Amino acid sequence: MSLVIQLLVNGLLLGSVLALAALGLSLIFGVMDVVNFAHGTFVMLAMYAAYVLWTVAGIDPFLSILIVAPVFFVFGVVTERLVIAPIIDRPMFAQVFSTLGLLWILQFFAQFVFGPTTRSFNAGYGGLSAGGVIVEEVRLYGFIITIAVTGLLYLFLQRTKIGLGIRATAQSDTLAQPFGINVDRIYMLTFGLGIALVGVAGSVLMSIQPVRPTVGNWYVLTSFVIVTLGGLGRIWGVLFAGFFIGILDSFISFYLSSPLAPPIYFAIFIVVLVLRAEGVTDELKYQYEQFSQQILAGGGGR
Amino acid sequence: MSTNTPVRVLNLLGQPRVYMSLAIVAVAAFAPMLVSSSIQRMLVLTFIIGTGAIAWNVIGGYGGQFSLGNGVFFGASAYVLAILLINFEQGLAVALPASLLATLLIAVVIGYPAFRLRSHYFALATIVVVEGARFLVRHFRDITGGEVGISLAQARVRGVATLGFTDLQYYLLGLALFAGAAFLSAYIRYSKLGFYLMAIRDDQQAAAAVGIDTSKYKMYGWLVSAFLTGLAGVMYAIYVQYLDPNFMFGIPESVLLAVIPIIGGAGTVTGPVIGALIMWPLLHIATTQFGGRFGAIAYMGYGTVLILMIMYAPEGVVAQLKGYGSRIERRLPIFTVGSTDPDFGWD
Repeated sequence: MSLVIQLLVNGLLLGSVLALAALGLSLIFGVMDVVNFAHGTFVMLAMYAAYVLWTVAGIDPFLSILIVAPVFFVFGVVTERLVIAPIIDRPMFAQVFSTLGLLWILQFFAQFVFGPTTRSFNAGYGGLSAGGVIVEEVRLYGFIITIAVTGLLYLFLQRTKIGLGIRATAQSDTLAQPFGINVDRIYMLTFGLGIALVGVAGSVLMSIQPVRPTVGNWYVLTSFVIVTLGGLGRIWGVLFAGFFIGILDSFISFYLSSPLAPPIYFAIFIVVLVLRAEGVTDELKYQYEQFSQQILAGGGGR
Repeated sequence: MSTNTPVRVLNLLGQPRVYMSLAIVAVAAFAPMLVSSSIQRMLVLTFIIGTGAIAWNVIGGYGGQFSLGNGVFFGASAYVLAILLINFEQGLAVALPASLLATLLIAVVIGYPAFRLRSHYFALATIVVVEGARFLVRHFRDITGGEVGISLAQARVRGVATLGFTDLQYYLLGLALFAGAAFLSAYIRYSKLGFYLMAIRDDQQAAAAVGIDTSKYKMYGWLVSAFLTGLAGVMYAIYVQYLDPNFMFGIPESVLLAVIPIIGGAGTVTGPVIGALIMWPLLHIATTQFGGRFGAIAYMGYGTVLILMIMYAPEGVVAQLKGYGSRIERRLPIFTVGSTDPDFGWD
């Protein structure tokens, strides 16, 4: 029993950081309708940023968030101006291959600077044990940061004027414009914010997992899986989808083998995409709403 | 007045672009006499990757389905071939058709769900297949060799298969593959399949409305694409004789198969050919002559070129060269046999 709890805890903690990595993608995908294939390479670069800050200046990875996140916000804004803004109204084809070009530039930049070797470090955090369940400190802090960041993002989107602008643009950019929202600026801010979230995620991930230039490919695809499962532009959905993938990964890795986990959730991803494209999920949602209304009507007894 | 097939074929051969292409291939066959063995090796690899690029162009260029997962056909056919040779001790006569058949089967399994998705969702569904396959190779490491990869030299040691072609034979085999793929893609471009695929690319709903079975023809294009990529994969396996899972199922390589025709000119016959002849040699020279770090710079350069081309010249390199091509073509005579339309030709 404690084994199952241990696996659940491991999965939950892993899933939370995966969700943190996917959060920026969800925001950019949901608001701008841009499929950013370079997302994972930004995660990878943020991990290297945390790595450099630790090895050169001895800055703790959790503390380095305060440096990496603002730098990545600027990085995101610049990228949006240079690469995304010129092609935002072009067909999907242009977006897919521009961001793939960006992926190549950033990934091979990292390869050029850092070489292909795997790098990691230990900032001196240990483990905690409670009731037979062992938890690494770094993963626990990662979990707390994820919850905090998700909550802050939610509040930002719901309670601020810029957040309102972002939500309006997400619903319809053509309708947001005549209501006095500068859609162009919202796009710039959204992309910057999304990449800043990646900066947070990269710093947290660096204390948990090793980095090499190619890890970005895995992060971007896993992020796409999580964003799709969680529902486009749904912040808490991303968190729960992250938990789901993390727990799935944890159990498959323990009972079968760890390289088998990604193929399984990639398969789930394709099935979900197809079901959604075929309208099966909408149909199920409709049936569920009908059903629950009937229950309510019957139970109300009016 | 209907002309019979031999006359039609002869008239086709009389077209400048056809006989000039054949002449170029014939001249290319004698290139090994002039170039060093390292350049010859680079050219064989160019032919292999170029075949993969031509294959992508069939579904991605003509059909407008931006597959990012064609690398899976490349890797799968090479791996199936290697595993049949080494683990099951089959000869090439069995392993070659079996690996191509396996590739087609994989194409059906991927294509069936993936073609229910449009544009970027299709791209996403196909790219995860490549990454998934890389993990599956690691999972089944007992037969795939896992991260270590497979060396086909084992097959030669055990005497299962003789893969010892001479350098010249490898070169001619590669050239035949590349040229054959190019001519097949040219044929498809002007065939029913090609026109249907282009109709689907331009407007899938309109294509369906005029009675094209879009799922069927997308699947046909996909199978042609998979088959050609599979041929490139087995050629790679018997030529290089070492399969590294991170290359065979690598995302940069899989994406490269799409980027070459896009930079060259997606949807044109010559686009992937020109693209491959320019891009792979540069990448190869950068990597082998100056070390892996300069290979990285070449990829960074291609990333930049890709972004700039999509912004400013989305039709590709070939569209920029088209004027020169047609100027040359107009100066060349058209040879015809038998009675044809008198107006055919000069205009």
